[in-house]
Amino acid sequence: MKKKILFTILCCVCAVVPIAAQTAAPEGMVLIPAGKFWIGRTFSIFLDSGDLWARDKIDNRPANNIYLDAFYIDKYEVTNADYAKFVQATGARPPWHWPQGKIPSEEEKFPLANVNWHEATDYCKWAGKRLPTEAEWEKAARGGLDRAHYAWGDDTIDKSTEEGLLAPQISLRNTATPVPATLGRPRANPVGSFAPNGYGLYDIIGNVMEWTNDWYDNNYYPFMPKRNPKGPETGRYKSVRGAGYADQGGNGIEKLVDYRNFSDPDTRINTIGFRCAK
Amino acid sequence: MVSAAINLHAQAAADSPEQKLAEQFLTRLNALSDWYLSVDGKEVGIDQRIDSMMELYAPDVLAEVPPHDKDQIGSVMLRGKDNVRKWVDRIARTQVRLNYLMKRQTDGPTGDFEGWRLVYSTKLPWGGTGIAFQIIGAWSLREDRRRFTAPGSVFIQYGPDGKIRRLRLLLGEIDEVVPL
Repeated sequence: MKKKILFTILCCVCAVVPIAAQTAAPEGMVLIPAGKFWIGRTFSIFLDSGDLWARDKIDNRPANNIYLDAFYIDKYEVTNADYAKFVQATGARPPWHWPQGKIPSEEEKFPLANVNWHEATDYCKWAGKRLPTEAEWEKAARGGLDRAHYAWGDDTIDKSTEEGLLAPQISLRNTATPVPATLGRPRANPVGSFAPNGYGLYDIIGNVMEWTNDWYDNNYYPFMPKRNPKGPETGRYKSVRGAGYADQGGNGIEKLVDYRNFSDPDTRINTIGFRCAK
Repeated sequence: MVSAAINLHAQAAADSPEQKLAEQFLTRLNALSDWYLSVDGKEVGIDQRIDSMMELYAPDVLAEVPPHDKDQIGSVMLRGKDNVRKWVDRIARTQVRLNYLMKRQTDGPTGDFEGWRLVYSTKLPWGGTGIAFQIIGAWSLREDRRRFTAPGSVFIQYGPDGKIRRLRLLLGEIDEVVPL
């Protein structure tokens, strides 16, 4: 009888725990639990209240309360060292800025950049993973915080960072600042230089911007599916998320966790990298 | 004599393109719920109602409308006629008993005076005409028949061809209408 009860309890537990949660997270990845979250901007900012931008340019509203299945995502952005293994194993073309096809000196732990969306996709496939959808990226970036402004909460950037926005050379001295990362820097930092977000993900904001799997469409949010949205069927640009180190900005909107960006999938640029999901 | 003057004025306003467009906008919006389910479950007449509403818009229309449901926050920007059609389609398929009225306006607290349905209009510096009017909207959700109402306003810019190029539909506080 006791065995029967225990078996029943075990069955119930298995039924409610997401499948992904029943297995250990792959090395270097974090489990993002299944559930609903608000994607997009749920609040107004001074640009709205002052009628300071064309409203037809707004692409992160309306915010939507959507459901995502559980998934895994890399703790860190893919590094030069990670990509070198891929290059060696597959004969893929190294990023153009690598001298003689080798990682620049002492940059093994720097986030990979100068790879286009196709190359990022190929890397993730080779690693047995995939690029995250835009919705997955945002859920992961939010670190479990509900409708927060930033990946680290609602507090705005600290004083030193504000000074850094005015004089980027000052921010160079602040690279040890935990999240929020200082922006407006001339280059990226080694991955993991800043404190992680609530899910244990590093460099969500402030290192390189990150490719996602989705096509970009500024009309997507008004009619977004409420379960596991995977982006538009087609498009011209791919969605890129997360402020990059060079995003000095003039008003700080790039640092918002819901900020959307996009790029031609063929673009190779030194401010866009990626991380994989599974 | 006063009555005659008012009637003449009202008649003239009713014939104006501005007044007609405002009334057509509300008439066709309300008509989005004028369709029926056939015995085999088909939505009969719904596409015609949607097409009728879409006849009012220019291809490059830009519209700002309220969120669709409780799972959305923030205004919805609709760029182009295809996206406006999605919005119209959603209204037609998810809401019933649509009743958007142009709100009556009076001069002072004259409760017994039925008021005027005013459409404010102006010629736009870049061509075309702008109109604005106050509304009271009411609708029921198709899924559970709960009914809601909200005061609001409509701002429209239309070109010389009479097609809407800009639309802003603003709704104030949305209240549930409860039976007494």
